[in-house]
Amino acid sequence: MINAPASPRGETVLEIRHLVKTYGSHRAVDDVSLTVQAGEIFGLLGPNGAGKTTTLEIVEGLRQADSGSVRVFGLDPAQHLDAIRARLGVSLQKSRYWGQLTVEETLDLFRSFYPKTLPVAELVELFDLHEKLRAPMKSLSGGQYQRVVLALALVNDPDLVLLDEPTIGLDPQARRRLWDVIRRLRARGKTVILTTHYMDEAHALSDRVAILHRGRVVELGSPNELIRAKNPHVSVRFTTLQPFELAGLAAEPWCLDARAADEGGFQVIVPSLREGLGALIGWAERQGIGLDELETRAATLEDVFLTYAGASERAPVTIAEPAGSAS
Amino acid sequence: MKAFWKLSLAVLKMYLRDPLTVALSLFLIVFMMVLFGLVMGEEQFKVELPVAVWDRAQTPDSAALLARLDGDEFLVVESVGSEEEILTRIREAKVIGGLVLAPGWTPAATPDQLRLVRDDDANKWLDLGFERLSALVVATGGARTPPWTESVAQLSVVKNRYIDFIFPGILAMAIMQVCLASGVVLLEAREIGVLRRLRLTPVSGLTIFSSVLTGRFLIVVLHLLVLVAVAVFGFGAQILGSWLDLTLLVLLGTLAFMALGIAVAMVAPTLESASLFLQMFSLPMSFLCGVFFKVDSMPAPLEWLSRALPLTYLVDAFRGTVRYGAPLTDHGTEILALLAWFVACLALGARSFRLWSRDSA
Repeated sequence: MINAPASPRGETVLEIRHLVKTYGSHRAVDDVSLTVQAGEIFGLLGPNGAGKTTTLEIVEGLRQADSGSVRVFGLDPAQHLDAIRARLGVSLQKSRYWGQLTVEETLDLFRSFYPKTLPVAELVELFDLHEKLRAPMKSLSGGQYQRVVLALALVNDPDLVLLDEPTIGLDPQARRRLWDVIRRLRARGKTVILTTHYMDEAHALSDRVAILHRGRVVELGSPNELIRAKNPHVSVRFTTLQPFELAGLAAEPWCLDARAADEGGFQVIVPSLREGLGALIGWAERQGIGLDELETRAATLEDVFLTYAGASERAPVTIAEPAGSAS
Repeated sequence: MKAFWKLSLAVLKMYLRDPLTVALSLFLIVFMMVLFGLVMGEEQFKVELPVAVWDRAQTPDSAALLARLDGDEFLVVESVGSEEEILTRIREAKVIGGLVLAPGWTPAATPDQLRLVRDDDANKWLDLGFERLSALVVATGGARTPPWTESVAQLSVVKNRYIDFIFPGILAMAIMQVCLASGVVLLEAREIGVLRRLRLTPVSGLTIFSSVLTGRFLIVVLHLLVLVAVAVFGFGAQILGSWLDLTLLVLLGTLAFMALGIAVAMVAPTLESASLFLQMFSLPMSFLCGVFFKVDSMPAPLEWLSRALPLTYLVDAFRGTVRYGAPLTDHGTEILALLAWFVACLALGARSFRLWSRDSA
């Protein structure tokens, strides 16, 4: 029932050029240029205050840009707002819906706003809302609520869907489930722009990401490209059965960095897994040191992200931290 | 248009889904009306027996009779200048009946020179009043009983129990309460963020705004229907005014109080403070504006205050229309005062609303 994409795959759905928006003396968006193609999931990342929200608000027509241009479906939001909004689906992180209305009533209400809509039955099917259709919005669990929020973003069968932190506050199971739904949107030819603070989520879902920092696009590309370009190295964390001289390990040619890890044990940075791991094991054998609890970890999108978060919030982090310390 | 009605009905539905609010806003006001209606009963006329007197004789004798009647423990004399006026006062239940003294009247005059005007369908206990009146007139000089000829009119006399007094005021108060809360509904829509979400649909801000207010107006209508049903079927209260006049007054009151509610909500920084601000208006108005007792029976400073508040004018207009069937033209002052409040609040509210809805972006 969902129509074929109105924008053929590969066509430009969103084009932002040299966008600038200042609040007083603060440059919230500082010369941002981006293009988003039809059929892709595009991750818009960045620390709080990086300009993501302002950029999206200009795209949504809620704010006016100071300079630069925005084209959604080739249209200027300042002039063709209704035409754009009819084809736009949004989920806002901070928006709650009226808790007294049921899921069905809320869907029905939002459907009445659009000329072209998806049938409620199809939305129910797509987001698995059968059981909760008659339930008041306020009675839903976090995961159920977010599924309704996504369903509401799709009532008008939009060509472009803006999802602001769609999985915030959800348990891991509910998040995974929502990821599946978001992937299904792409499979149906929707273009999705996603903002999230979860880097695993951005990596898992996005075809491309842009990292905004202080109002500028500082990284743009597929998650894997960004990781390779930023930090191709592998971190190996281990504990040993015997004490050893850290300086000796650090002097090894394959060892880029060696230090005592925060969590106990040691951490070395090696150029690649294949090369570094063998060398480390060989070194331990030669030294007569027994290795214990060996753990390797390639850089992640989070490491790329933290490079920028670090610049404003803490000392630069150049070495990958073990997974799990993400905030 | 579809969006407009869906949204209006959604506002009504939300209200009905919130049993506590319904209980507080509707049940409380019905309860108050019923309680006062039952407890206060018919006490008003038992202490005073007002009589309208048209003195066409204008002699020292007639003046003496009037003074004597007025000096009675229960009788109160009200001088009028025509028989029509007597009938009006009876119809409005302001007097129990009227006396007409013929031009040549003397204390010893025959009954045809004194005429008692009364309603055919008057309450039985009013006869006690006429007996007392008769005894006083006879004692003044006439020997015959009854000392007058009676002219009995077929009048639909307004009922004058306490419930009849407060019923129109309660209608006005219900309008005030529901309408003042409209601003809070808008504020809540902004605070939870649904307003922002609505603005990202093709629906215009004006549609959102007007349908929220229409939804609230439907709640006003619902309240009024319940109150009218309880008063009319439960207490036999009467509505003498035309339904058109009443509808116009309901609309005018709705406009004035919605504008006030929105203006207050726009000025208030948060949802909680808005509720408090609104109570600062609604609570004193409920007591000061003539819903439960007459404004002119209050000490002067309180009366001045009540004359500054909009509910006083809505209560007056409602009472005149519902109770006495007065046409709207009799309520020029009230209508002007309400319009003035509406325009002033609209000016304040509209300005802040623009800033406010921009902030909600």
